[in-house]
Amino acid sequence: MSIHLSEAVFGYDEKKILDKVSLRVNTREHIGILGASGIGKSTLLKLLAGLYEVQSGICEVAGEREPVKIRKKVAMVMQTPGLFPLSIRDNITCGHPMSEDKIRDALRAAQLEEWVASLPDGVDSIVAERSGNISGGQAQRIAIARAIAKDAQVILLDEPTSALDEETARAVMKTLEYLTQGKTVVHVTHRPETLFGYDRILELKEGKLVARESEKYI
Amino acid sequence: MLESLRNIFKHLGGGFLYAFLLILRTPVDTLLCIINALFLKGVFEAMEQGTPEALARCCICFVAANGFVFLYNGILWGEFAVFSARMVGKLRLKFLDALQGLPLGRIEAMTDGVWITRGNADVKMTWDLLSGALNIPHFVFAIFRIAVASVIMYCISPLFLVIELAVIVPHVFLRHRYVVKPAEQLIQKAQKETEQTAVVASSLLAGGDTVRIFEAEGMLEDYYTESSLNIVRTRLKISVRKAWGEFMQLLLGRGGYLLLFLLGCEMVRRGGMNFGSLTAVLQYRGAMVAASMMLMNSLVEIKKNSVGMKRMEEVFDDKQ
Amino acid sequence: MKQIGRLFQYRKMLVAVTLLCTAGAVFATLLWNRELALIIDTVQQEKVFPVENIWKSIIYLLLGAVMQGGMSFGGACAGEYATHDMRMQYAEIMLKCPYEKVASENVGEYISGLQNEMEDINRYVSEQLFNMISMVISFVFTLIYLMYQNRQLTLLYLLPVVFLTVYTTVSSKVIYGYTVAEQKEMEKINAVLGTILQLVPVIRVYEAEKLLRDQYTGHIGAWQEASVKQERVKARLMSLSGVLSCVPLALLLGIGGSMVLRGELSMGTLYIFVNLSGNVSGVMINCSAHMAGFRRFCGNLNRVWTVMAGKEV
Repeated sequence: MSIHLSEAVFGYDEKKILDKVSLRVNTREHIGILGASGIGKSTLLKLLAGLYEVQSGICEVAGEREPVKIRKKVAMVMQTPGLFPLSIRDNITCGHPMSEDKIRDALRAAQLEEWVASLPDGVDSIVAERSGNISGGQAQRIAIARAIAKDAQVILLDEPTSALDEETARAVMKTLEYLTQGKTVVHVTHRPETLFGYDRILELKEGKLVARESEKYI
Repeated sequence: MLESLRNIFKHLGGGFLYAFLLILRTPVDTLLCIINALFLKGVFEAMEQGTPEALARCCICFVAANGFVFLYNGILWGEFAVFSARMVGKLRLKFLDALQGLPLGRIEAMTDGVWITRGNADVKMTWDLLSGALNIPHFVFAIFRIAVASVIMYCISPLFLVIELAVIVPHVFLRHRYVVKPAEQLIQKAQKETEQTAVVASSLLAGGDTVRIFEAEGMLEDYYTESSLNIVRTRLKISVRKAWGEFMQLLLGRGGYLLLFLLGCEMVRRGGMNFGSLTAVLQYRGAMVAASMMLMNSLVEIKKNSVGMKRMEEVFDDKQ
Repeated sequence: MKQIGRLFQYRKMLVAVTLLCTAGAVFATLLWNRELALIIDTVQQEKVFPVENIWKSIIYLLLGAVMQGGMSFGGACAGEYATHDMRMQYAEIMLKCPYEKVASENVGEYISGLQNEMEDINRYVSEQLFNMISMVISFVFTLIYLMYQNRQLTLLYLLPVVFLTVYTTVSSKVIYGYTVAEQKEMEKINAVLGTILQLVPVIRVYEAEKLLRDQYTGHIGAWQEASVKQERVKARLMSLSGVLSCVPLALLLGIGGSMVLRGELSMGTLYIFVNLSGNVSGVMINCSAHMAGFRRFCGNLNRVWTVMAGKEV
């Protein structure tokens, strides 16, 4: 069992966003979670990422229940890449010791190797999302390379392609396939077509997770 | 820059009135300096001659003369305010008209933010250049004050003028070469580093989720510490320059003062002049030093604001 | 005071050195002026050139210059390192703050907003704080020195300065009111221009150029009115202030001159009164502006410490 959520409750003040939500995800299982905007999909994902702590119930990810320990077991790719205004290397290593080969492998898997090689400072080039020196697709690929390099057991995806145009989104999806191979994946989105080939699809409705037939969306 | 000024006034009109008002305003500072010098001269001469009536007359005349000059200045200030408001209004409307005359493609070639800066900040910079403190008016006032003070000092004793110039010229040169110019570049560097630190700090907040999932706290803290220390290092370099500036100002400023003072005392001792005249000389010297500093600071501001005027001119002359 | 003490808690040595330099610079100035007074009196009375006083004045001049430079650099060092310490505490808070709180919009925005306050604090500390301290030290010691030289003349000179201080405080408040009104009108103009720029395509399609130009002209007219009003009030109040500010000097030289004539005061001493009086009156006349800046600084510091203490996060 990779993820075990039991009777999990989470909310702000009086408002419950997740109300006794239960979920079991097996190791290497890919599940998709659908739901309208603002329903709490991202909150659920952040709970699974160890960013939030359940107010009651159980949240166990890769055998860990403590949020700080959960974070060590997961990698996450979000709608916005969340790049640091530092070099590509720093964005991938996040300051942890990492071999050159591992960085290169991550860049290759994220289809960034050629582009990075063409930069004057290569992997040490500074990236700044807002300055416009890289495109949205490249930024998202760096975020994916970072997740690949972390080599976590559980991959959490929060609408990673929704801010991209169709063509770029398709290319990014390919790199996501590499990232998610052989991993436990939870992908939240409001676009069912991005969940092609997933093992199970659930829907978040009024604070509860409801099972859906995956075929319906394929 | 003169070409740009002429061009701006060609678009707006009012160039002659501006020059006329500037000429009327120019002698105010110098008059105040002369009144002060004459007052000190008169008072100390009255003391030397032992005439209390002359002393009282000097004090009354000093207050009255100041009252007259400030009345003149107040009236002129009011008139200039009306002229200034009218010109800023014209400048803004002219900008709007120029903008509305541009093809859409030309407008969209730059972001709204850039146009808003041109329409607001550049208008302000242009008018600051023409009327603000430490800009063209103060530049003109400073030159006038230096010229008048030099002539008066020369008339009192050419030696005083030579000594004063021998101190002021290197002072101005050294200050510009070793303080103002390097500090200007360092200030820009410090600004960039401050922005960089702010960006790293923002990513600690905005990218809080990524930071925690990928455990990037240590890396960002190191970067933040380093960029904060970079700010400290650059600003300390500026401080070293400023400290040199202060040291030089005191050394050369007071040194020049002391030289004139001692020379004057020797002349007083020999009976070549009275102490009253010496106090007046020291007042003119003070006026020259202050005007030289004003001149230098005005040059820096004029350079800064003329960039805004140049951009304004580009919009006005855009015929595309 | 406690807040400022906290800001410099790790930089006490630098602050102490700066304060020593400040005091040294003030003393050097006072001693330099004393030597000038002695030179004047000797030349006037004995008609000899006092070589010893000249050497002393040169030494005090050099000492003053070194101390002034030291004060400037020491103050900047203390200020820069103290604000670096504050920035690091800020980073620590952000890193230790639970994600739930950082993610909450209000807290995130508030912490982010603190950066501007820290920048203001940094600017004030490195550019103004030690200058202000230096002015206060200079004010106190100069006043004591002048009182020691001639208490009666000092008090008579300061009487109109007190009146002038009240006048400056009141008039700057009046001017501030007009300045705020003028700035509000200017902000309106800026906002209208922003709107026009965003709507350029719509304006062109519907030929609304004239409509918006008229609206813009109306706002400019309102600003012009506010600006002229502000400048005229400023011109009146500040011209009067200019006239009034020459009264203390006239009184100083009038009364001091009479004392010299009666033999109660030497000409040299009166001359240094003229030289040093600005150190006292300048601080008094501008104290309202200095206090306003200092209060803003304390307010910023208070907000930053409150957040860092976790009281608001």
